[in-house]
Amino acid sequence: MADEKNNHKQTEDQDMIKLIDNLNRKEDVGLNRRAFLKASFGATVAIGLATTPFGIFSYMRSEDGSVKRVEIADVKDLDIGESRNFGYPTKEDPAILVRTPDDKFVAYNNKCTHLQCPVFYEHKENILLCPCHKGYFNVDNGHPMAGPPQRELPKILLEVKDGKVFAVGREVRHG
Amino acid sequence: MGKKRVAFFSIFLFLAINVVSLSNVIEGYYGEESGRVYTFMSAAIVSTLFAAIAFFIWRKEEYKK
Repeated sequence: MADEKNNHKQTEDQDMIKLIDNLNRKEDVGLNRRAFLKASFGATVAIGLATTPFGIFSYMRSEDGSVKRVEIADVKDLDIGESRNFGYPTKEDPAILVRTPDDKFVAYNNKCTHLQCPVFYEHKENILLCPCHKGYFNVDNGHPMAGPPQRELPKILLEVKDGKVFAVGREVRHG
Repeated sequence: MGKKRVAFFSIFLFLAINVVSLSNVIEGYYGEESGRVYTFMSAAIVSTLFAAIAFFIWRKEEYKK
């Protein structure tokens, strides 16, 4: 009986030894107050410097990004409630020109801001619709009204002159 | 509050400023708002400089004999 008790105690002791065996004191004191502050300072510098490439690329982009003036359509070719697709600022950037029921011209890049599906103009509801996930955009300002999209469609600035509609610039974030 | 303590806590303040600035810079970059990019990039750089000054002040005080 006594032997059994001793054996049990020894096993318990060994278990305790195993428990503290994997503790490494060096690792334990590695992250002290000083190390924590140094790591925080390092993170501050890294995050601060991470902003600079964006500034440089933005500067390079705005240097060669002269405003393009592109003719889109004749006013008489587009009836009220009709739309037409075009590309702006390059042909690879799809866009949609709409003549609204108020007889106003509006244009947006028509890649849905959710998952880049094409956005169409729905004449009956006077709304821009992304059929992939039922995203609805306001035709007057390009802002999302319902569905998954959270951001507005990039707005293309227009100019109507001599019976023609021109695209003269673009605002990615607006309103 | 001592000089060392102020320097210690200000580094975390500058860290928070830089996190906010980086998020704004990224949003500005993809939204093609160069004004926003430059503003927050300048804020981040200034904040990083102040953080470096604060760090050196703290280090001087911390390791003083």
